[in-house]
Parts: sequence; structure tokens; C-alpha cells
Amino acid sequence: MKKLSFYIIYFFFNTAGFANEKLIKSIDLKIQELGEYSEIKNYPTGFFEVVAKHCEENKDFKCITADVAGKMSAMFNRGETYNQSNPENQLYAMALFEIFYLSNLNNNKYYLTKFKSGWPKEKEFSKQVSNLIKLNESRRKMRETVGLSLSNSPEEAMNAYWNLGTFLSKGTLQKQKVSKEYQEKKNILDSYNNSISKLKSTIQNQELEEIYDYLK
Amino acid sequence: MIKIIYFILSLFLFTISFINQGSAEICKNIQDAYKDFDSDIKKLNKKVNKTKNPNDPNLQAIDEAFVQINQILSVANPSCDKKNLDLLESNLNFLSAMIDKTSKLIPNEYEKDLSKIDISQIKEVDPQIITEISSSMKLRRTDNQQTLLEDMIVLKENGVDVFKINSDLNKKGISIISNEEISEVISKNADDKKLKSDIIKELKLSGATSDEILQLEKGIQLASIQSEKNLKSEDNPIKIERVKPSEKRIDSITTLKTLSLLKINNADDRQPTGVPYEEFSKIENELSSQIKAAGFNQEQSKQVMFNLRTKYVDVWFHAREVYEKVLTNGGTIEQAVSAERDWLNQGGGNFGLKKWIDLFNKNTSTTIEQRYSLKDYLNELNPNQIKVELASADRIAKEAQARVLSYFTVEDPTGERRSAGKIVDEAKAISNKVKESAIKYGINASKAEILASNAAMSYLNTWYAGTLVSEAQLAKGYTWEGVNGADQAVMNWYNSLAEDSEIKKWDARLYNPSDDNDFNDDELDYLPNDEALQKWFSKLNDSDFTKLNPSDQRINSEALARTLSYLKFNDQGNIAGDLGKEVEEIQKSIIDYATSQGIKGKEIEIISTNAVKRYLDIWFEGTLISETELAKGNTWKEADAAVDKWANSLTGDMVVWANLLYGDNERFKADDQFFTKLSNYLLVDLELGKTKSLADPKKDNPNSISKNTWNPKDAIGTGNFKGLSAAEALGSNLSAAVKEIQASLNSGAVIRGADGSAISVEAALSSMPAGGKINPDGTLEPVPSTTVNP
Repeated sequence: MKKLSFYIIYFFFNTAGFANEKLIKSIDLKIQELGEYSEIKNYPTGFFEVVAKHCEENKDFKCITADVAGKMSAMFNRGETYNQSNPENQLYAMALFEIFYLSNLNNNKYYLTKFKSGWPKEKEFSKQVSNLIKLNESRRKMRETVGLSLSNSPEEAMNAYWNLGTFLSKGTLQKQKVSKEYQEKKNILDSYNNSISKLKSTIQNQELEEIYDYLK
Repeated sequence: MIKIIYFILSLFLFTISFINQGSAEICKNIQDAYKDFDSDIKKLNKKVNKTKNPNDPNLQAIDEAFVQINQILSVANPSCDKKNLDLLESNLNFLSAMIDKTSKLIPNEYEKDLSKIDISQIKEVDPQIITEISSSMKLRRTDNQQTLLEDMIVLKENGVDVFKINSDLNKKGISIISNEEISEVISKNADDKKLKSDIIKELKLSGATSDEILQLEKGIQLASIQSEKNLKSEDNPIKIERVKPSEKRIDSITTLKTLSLLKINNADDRQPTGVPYEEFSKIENELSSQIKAAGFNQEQSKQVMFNLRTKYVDVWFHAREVYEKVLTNGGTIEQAVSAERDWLNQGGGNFGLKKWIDLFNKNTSTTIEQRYSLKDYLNELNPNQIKVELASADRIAKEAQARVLSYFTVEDPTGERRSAGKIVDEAKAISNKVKESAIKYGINASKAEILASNAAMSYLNTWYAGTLVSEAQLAKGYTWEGVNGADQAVMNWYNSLAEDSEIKKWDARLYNPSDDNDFNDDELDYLPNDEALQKWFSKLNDSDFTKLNPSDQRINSEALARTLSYLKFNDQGNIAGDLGKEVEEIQKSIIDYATSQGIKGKEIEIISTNAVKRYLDIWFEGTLISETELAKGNTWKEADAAVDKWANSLTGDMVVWANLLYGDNERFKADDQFFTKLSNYLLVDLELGKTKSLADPKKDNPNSISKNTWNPKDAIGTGNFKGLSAAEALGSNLSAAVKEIQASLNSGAVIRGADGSAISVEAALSSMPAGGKINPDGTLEPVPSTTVNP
């Protein structure tokens, strides 16, 4: 009977192991998707007119990165009116996000390497890795908006965002009055949309949340 | 024992609770989020109820969408079982799409108008990248639409008739998913019959009419063709623009038709006769009187008259070619006459015929008094030294070639279309004699065969080159005899040949230099001389056993004649016979089918005209290739192989037309295969918005046929229509690209994914507090709010 109970115990604990195994595989994949750090060699035409002007001559990646972070954040924080009349703004910001991500990958190289060496038995520096995964998921979402994926190189992605942004910027600005009634409906629709997006995101991000929880 | 069971049970419960701890937490998160969502929706519903009843139809449509939100959510609940979560997700996806499409009714305060942008002028933008982005976005959009449709089916199965909601809102200007988008999804999943039948069933149930279903089916076909076309865009360069017919075909047929009006009077003196000579004879007496009156004697008058006849025929020949070219190109007789008149009035091109056109009163743009006249010509002449007027070299070359080829016929008793005629018989006799002599000399049969074949071949090559010289002289109006006679011309030509020329080498191998051969068949002096043969055989080396090729000039000319011999023409100068019937059937099939599909107008005129042009081009080129092989003495198998090789090397629109009009058949057949391909062709080009590429014939080609309405006779076309430039074509793609991008990116503040749902920048940046410097953990220090303009 002792033998039987041993098997039963083994079975139950092993089942729990299966659940973890699936999660570990998911994390393995996410780590793989982080990609390898490599400096951007070719910047899109007009890039240095928008950001890091003083770095144009030597194109030093650290110099560019230092300028990019603040600029990108400011661009992402622009209001709706500004973005309507400057459609290139968010696309340029997304291009800068590629650089921002690369610099994060580089800055966290040490933690990532240490994490990989102990993983999955140990979870040393898992918080840093979790942050990188979050950033990479943001990068994925941004890329998907213009039909790119994580398999595209950062240079390809930057070129795509920048070209599209520059193209959109060349349009002729037209202003029209939006009535109060329309504005009111718009606010309601936006609110519906936000509520729907939040719930949808909670459901769809279950797996990611499990990953982030596991790496806490 | 009880203790053990208790222990196991406790362990079981502990483990289950351990496993479910994570999922319970997730479920709680979802339920909390649902609770917040439910509360938000209730608050928003209250807000909606407070808004006034608007008069604006767009605002009414938006209100209608608000009402539908609650109906859609009626089946939503926060239960965490997988089935319910799937249903909830479907619910939210559909709502998200609906709200996104509803938002499009609300104008933006600011918009950038891209419609007037010429991308080729923007140095910093690579158009290729823009096009690629648009294609990727479109692919992603189709994927998302597929998910949306699948969600709609799930919702319908759970009691929410979202197909009806879509249909109702569509009528109010909110198209959550259009029929075109549904078609794209179905055609992308062509193998998924269930998806198609489910969707069509749901559409029918939601009240779609049979016409709407028919349109959907048509859309599926369109999308499938478009998708195939995108995959094979390199191989499928169909455009609705006029194709330029093969110049070789048009020129060859033009010359053939012109030459068919010239005759040879008899087999002996082979003097030229026919239409221009008959016309000239009608004015000859009048001319003769004037020449005599000017004081020229009989001998001098004869030379003057010879000159006038030569130039009259030149003028007639080249003017007739202009006339026939218009007809060959599909023009009417009136257009042909008009083109000929213009050509004459403008001085006759580059043939130096202006004064002769005047002299024969063919220039109708001036008065008779203004024109160069016979009197002027006669005054210029020195009666004691009357200059011979040379005939047009172009005319004589064409005439001579046709005259030489008149010696040949084609015999087809074995089905191999062998060249025949007196000269071929002579070549055979030479071959037999060489073979017989060679074997007698001790050369083995196979080698003797090569020597014999080469001897016959060299005879034909030499005969062709020499006869071309004599026939040219006869075509000019000279006889066989005299200083300018055909015989003397051949002698002059022969003497001008280098001693080591192939013709003279073969002459030495086959004939004795001391013989005075005139190649008279009564004397059989074309047969090789025994002594010469013995001498040749004694000096044979390996190179003599290499098979001699026919001269390219002879074979090309013979092949062309053989090809043209298939053609028949009716009184209006159009192609008749079997080929003519096929051409008519092609036109009729295309026009009838297009009309049955509701397609008409210039597009069909251009397509059917192009079809005929290309049918004839392909027939002509293919036949020329096979006849070249047969003229060389090769078999049909070799001729077919050569045609196959050529067909496989076709490029551009010829590939498409060859596939459409010939397919696997040797000739056109109005069968099911043709109509299937035609259907695809018409749908692709006419209904997928390619009409932009239609060239304006008048604008693009000032010489084009200027008919207001299309005449079915205008079948072969005038060519020279410009296609779209690369920049224009790219512009068209870019315009689609821009639409695609605009459809996917909300022009407002929030960047939206291809499915229309917001990529929440907030979510994207959740790991990244807005900031100016990177923290060691990868986050950013916040940017002071003062630096950010709203």
C-alpha cells in the first residue's frame, strides 16, 4: 500500500509539474523573441532632423539612445489634436521605440545572461527579464499595426515607421468644425471602446499575466 | 487503512487546490475586470439615454449602434469556463469592430489630405516600402476579419443575430464587415467549405436577398482572382490598354496584299503586269503625245516612257502599302483611302517620290498648276543623255523575293509540307547524281548521303541568290537580254563574288570550269559534271562531311511565303477563311459574354480588339516558326518542338493571351475552358478597378482610328498606344496603399491596429513610465509635464 500511495503522490505532483512546464516553454519562447542586441547602422532619411541632431556626425549609438528616450516619451504623450494634425508623430515615436528597446536589451544584457544561465531552476533577475518581455510585447503590438512582426529587423521596422510617418506628414492639413453633438457621441464611443479594450486585454493577456506573475 | 485513505484524499485536495490556485486568480482578475466593465457600460448607457434625439442621420446611426451594444452584451456573463470566455471574447471583438466603424461617422477636427501627394516627388520616402506596408496591413486585416466572422458565427449560435445587426447598421452607413471583406475571407479560405456555407446560411437567415448573395459569390470569385493575381503579379501583366500588334505580321501582310495586285505576264519573259501597269497603260497615250510634242525621237521617247512607268509603279506601290496597312491594322476602306491621300499629299514619305506624285496628279492638296508636271520633267532632260530613273529599291527587293518564291510550291502528300517545284526537282536530281557517283567512287553510303544533301543544298542556295538578282531586274521592267537584262545582271553578280565564296567553291566541286552552263533543264546541264565530282572526291576531308545548312535568306523568305499562303482575304481586305472565322468567333464570344455580364463600352472594344491582335500575332509567329522548320526539310515533330520552345519563351501580355486564346489547343475553341479564363480575365481587369489604365486612343496616338463608336471590323488595332508608365502604375498601387493605411490607422490620436482595435499606447508604455532617462531596471524617468505640449 505504501508503494501505491507513493505512485499517487508522484502522479499529483507530476501533474503540477506539467502546468509549470507549459509556462516555462512559454517563457522560453518569450526570451527567444527578445532577440539579440545589435546597433542600428543605417538610420532613415530625416531621422537626425527629428532627434539626436548632435549625434549625426559620428552616429554613436549611446549618444543617440540618450536623446531618444526623452524624445520618444514626449512624442507618445502628445495629445489627440496634435496627433491629428501631425500623423507622423506616433509613427516616429514607434521608430524611436525600436532604439529604446535595443538600448534596454543592451543595458540588461548582464541580467539576461545571468537569468538564462540559471533558468528554469532559478529565477535570478527575473524582474529585469519580465520588464524586457513587457517592452518586447509592446514592440510586437506596435509592429503589428503596420503589418510587421518581431521577425523583421529593427532597421526594417524603423524604416517602415519612418517612411510611413514622413509620407503621412506630407498631406495637406485640413481643419473642420466638429459639432458638440458629434463630440459628445465621440466621447461616449471612446469610453465604450476603452472599457471593451480593458476587458478584452485582461482576457487576452491571461498567458502574459501568468508569465509576469511567474517571473515576479 | 482509514488513515492512509484520509492521507491520500487530503493530498489530492491539496494538489488540486495548488493547481487551481493560478487559474482561480486569473478568473478573479477576469471577473473583477468584467465587474468594472459592466459598471462602465451601465454608466455609459445612462449617458446615452440622456442625449437628445438627433435629426442628423449619422447621429441617428450612432444612436442605433448604442442600442445594439446592449443587445450584443445581453448574452455576456463573467463565468470563467472556457466556453463562456470564448463567447465573451467574441462578443468584445464584435463590439470593438462595431464601435470602430461607428466612430468613422464622426469627423476629425484635423485631417491630412493625402490625395494630392505625388510620392515620386518625396525624396525621403521609398514608395516600395509604403506599398509593402500596405500589403502587409491588408493581409493582417483579412486575418482579423476572419476572426470577426468566426466570432459572428459564435454569437449567432448563442442567440445574438449579429449578421442582422451588421446588415441593419450597414443600411445606416456603418459597415462592420462589408460583403467585399466577407468575400476576401471566404476566398482566402477557399478550402474551408464549412466557413463559406455557414456564412452564407447566416446571411440568408438575417434577410440577405438572393441578389446580395449573388453579389457575394461574385465577390468571392473576384477576391480569389485578385489573390491569385497578387501571388503571380509578375506572370500576369494584363492591363486594359491597347496592345501593339506584331510589326512583322502587319508589314508582311501589308506587302503580301500589295504584291498580290502585281502579276507576271508569262513563264518566259516574266514581265511585270497587274494593277499599276494597267493604270499606267490608260495614261500612256496621253503621255506619249506630250513627249512626242516636246521633240523627243522614238528611242528617246521609249526611255522617257520607261522612266515614267517605273516611277508610276513606285508611287502606286508605296501608296498602296499605306492603304493596305490601314486595312491590315483593322481600319475601314474610308480610313485607308484617307491615309493614302494624306501620304500622297505629304510627298510620299522618304522614297523621294514627291515630284512624281505631282507629275501624275496624285497630290490633291495643290492645284494642277502648282504641281511639278511632265512638261517640267521633259524640260529638265537632255535628250541625248536621258538619265535612267531607278526603281524604288524597297519595292524591287519585295517584288523580287515574291517572284523568286513563285517558283516554289508546297507539296503535302505525306503531311510534311515539303517544298516542291522545278528547282526542287533539279536539286533532287543533283543529289541523286552526287550520291551515286560518290558510292561508285568508294565512299560509304552515309557519307555519300551527306555529300549529296550538301550538293543539293548548295544548288538551292546558289539558285536562290542568283534568281533574286535576275528577278529584280525583270521586276524593274527589263528583259532577259541586253546590257541591263536579267542574264547580264546575274553574270555581273556572279563575277563580283570572291573566288573563295561558298557559291564559287561549290561551283568548282560540281561543274567543270570549261563548261558553258546556262542551267538549261532541256540540256540537263545543271547536273554535276563527272570529272569535277571525281576531282572533288579525291580531295575530300572531314569538313566535307559536315551537313550544310540552307541559307537563312532563302529559308526565312520561304517560311514567310508559306505562312502567308495560309491567309485569305475578303473583299473588304479583312482576313477570311478559317482564320477569319476564328477571329470573328473570338470577337463574338468576348462581346457576348461581356454583355451578358453587364460589361460594355470601350473596355470591351479594347479587349476584343486586343484578343484578335494577339490571336493573329501568336498564330503568325507560331506558324512562321513551324514553316521555317518544314522549309528546312525537318519533320512536324521538330517543327512542333520549335513552336513549343518559342511558346515557352513568350513574355509580357503574350503569355496571358496565349493562355486565354489557345490554352492547350492548337487553334481557338469557344469551349468551357476559354469561358472560364475569359470570366477571370474580365473580372480581374474590369471589375477590380483597372479601368484607370485605359488609354485614350486619340490622346495617345494621333494616328489612331478616330471612330466614335467601335466597329467590329476594327479588330486588328493600330498599335502604338502607350501603356501606363511605371510611375503611374506605382501611383495606382500607392493610392490603394494609402487607403489601406488610412483604413488601419485612425487619423486621430490613438494608433489602431489593423483590426481597428486600439493598440493602446497606454498598454504599450505600461512598462515604461514617461520619462527622459533610462533607469537601471529598464524603466524611464518621467519627462516633466511642462515639456509636453498638448
